[in-house]
Amino acid sequence: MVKILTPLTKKSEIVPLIRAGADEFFCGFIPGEKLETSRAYLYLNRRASRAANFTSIGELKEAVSIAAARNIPIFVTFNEHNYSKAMYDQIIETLKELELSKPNGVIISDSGLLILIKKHFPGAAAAAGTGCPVFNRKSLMFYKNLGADRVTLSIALTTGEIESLADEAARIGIELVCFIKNENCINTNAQCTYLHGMFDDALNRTFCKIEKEYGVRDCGGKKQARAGKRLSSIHEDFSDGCGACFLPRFIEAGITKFKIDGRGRSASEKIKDLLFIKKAVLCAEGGRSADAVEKRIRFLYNKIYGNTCSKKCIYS
Amino acid sequence: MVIPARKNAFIHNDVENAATAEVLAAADSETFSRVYIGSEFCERLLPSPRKIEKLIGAARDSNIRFSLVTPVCSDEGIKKLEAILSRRSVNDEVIVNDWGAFLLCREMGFIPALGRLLTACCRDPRLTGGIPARDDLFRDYLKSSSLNSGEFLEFLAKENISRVEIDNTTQFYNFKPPSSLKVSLHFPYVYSSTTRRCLYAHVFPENKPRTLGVNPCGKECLEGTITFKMPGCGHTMLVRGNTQFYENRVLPENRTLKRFHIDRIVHHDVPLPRKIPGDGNANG
Repeated sequence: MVKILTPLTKKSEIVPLIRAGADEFFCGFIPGEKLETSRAYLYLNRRASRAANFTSIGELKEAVSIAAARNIPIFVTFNEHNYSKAMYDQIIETLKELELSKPNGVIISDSGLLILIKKHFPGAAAAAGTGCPVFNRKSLMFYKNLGADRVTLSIALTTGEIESLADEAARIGIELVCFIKNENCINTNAQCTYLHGMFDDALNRTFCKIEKEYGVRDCGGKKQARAGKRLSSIHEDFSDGCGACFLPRFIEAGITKFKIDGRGRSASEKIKDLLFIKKAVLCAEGGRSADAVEKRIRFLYNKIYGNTCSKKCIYS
Repeated sequence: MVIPARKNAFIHNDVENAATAEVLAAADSETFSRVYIGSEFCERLLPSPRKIEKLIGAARDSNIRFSLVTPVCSDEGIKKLEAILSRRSVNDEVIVNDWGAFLLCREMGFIPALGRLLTACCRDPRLTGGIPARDDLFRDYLKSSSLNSGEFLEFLAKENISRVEIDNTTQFYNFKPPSSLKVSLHFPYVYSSTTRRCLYAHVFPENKPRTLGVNPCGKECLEGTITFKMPGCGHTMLVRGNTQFYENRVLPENRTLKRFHIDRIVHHDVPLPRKIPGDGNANG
C-alpha cells in the first residue's frame, strides 16, 4: 500500500495533516534554548531555521505520542553530512529523550552517525537520507550493511535507475522512498557541501536559490554572452519540484513510500500538497492508460494549485 | 605558505607531490612523483580501460607512481569500473568516491583509499570571510568532517583503509587522525558541489533545446568554461565538468600538514578544456 511521508513542523499540524492523508511524518529538531549559546545547534539538519523545526523537546515528545496513538510513525531528521562532537552529543541526548522505537525512526546522512545510532538505539528505524550517495545497486547494499532500514532516493536519478534500484531493494530487503513534491535543487544533495544557511544574515539563504551571474567562454577563450544569460535564468528552466506524473511507473516498480518535502511550508500548503498527491496516487493505481493518468494528474494539479502545470518535472 | 598561481617548483620536501594527468602533461614531471589517472566526479569522463592502461604504462616508463581515481557511479559506471579493475593488480592504489565502488573494490580484493567525495565537510567559499570568533562550538562544527566521527574512523580501520583524501578548505579541519591513517590534500581547487544536471549541456551547443535533466552526454563540458561570482564573497567559482570549485592557494604550514598526517598533495589545474584529437574522452 502506498504511503505518503509528510513534513511536520508543529504539534498542531498533526491532526489536520492526518485528516488530509498523511501516512508518516518527518520533522527536524533544534534545541531552541541552546541556540542562545551557539549557532552550531541550527545545523543538526539541513533546514537551518527555527521556522522549519521543532524547537522544544517537550512539544516533539507530545507530537510523537499523538501520532503513535493514531499509528502514524514519525522520523526525526538529522541529515547534515557531518557533525562536531558537541552536535553528536546533542543528537544522542535528543534521541534518549524521545525513546524512538520502530516504526518511528531517524533520517540520517552521515555514515558515522548511522553507525552510532544503530549502536545506541537499535530499536529505532534508520533511514538513509538523500545526503547518502546512492546511485547504484551496490550502494544500497552498503547502506543496508551499515544498518539502514530504508533509503531515500535522490532526484538526480533517472526513472530507469530508480526502477533498477527498486528491483535490487526488493531483492536485498530494504525500503525505498522517492521524492514526489517540492524537491528541486539542481545540485546533488549527497555531494553538495555548501552551508545551508549562513551566519551572516545578508547571506542567510540557501546557496542554490541565490541568483548568480555566470560567465561562459568557449574553447578558444571567447566570451559567450548568450550562454551566460541562459545560465543566469537556470532556475526558471529547472523543475518545479513535482514528480507526480511518475507515480504509476514508481508504483509499478514496487516503490510504496513517497515523500513530500517542505518542512518550511505552512500547514495549508502542506494540506494542499497532500490532497494533490493522495488524489494522484489514487489515479495512478486506477488502472488507466499512462496518457490518461498523466492528463488526469495535470488536471488535478491545475485545479488544486490554481495554476498550470509547467511540465518541468523532477524526473527524467 | 602562499603558492604562486603558476606552476610550482616547490614545496614541502617530505610530502609526496601527486598530480592529475592534465597537470603532469603540462608540467616538469620531476616535480611530481605520482599521477592520478581517472575521474573523480563523472563516470562519463572515466577513460576507457585501454586508455587507462596506456596512461599507466607511460607513468611507469617515467618512473612515476600512479593512483587510479574513480568517480561517483551509476550501475553503468560500476560495470565500467569492474572492467578497469579486472586488468589491475590488487596492490595498485585505487581511490573511490562512491560507496558502491568501495564495495566492488572490496569484493575484488582491493583495499581502496577514500576520495574527497566520501569525506564530508563544509566546502563553502563564503567561509573565507571568517567564522564568528566568539562561538567556539560553531567554529568546531564548521571545521568538522566525517573524520570527526569515532564510529566512522573505526569503520575505516575495520576495512583496513589507510588513506583518505580531503580538500584545502579555507577554514581547514579539527579532526585527530589515528596513527594508521594517511591523508592526501587536494590543492588548490576545493570542490563545493556537483550535479548530474550538466550546465554545459544546457548552454552548448547554442542551437540545442534547453535541457536540464540527466541527459545523454555529448561531452559538452569540453566545449568551454563556466564561471560565476559567488554572492557574498570575492570568490569566482569555476565549473569544470559537472562540479563547482573554488580556489585556495594558501597551503597550511608544515607542522599543520604533519598534525593531520598529510603526506601527499594532489595538484590540480583547471585549464581551458581541449578536445583531444581522435579521443572522445577527457583525461581528467
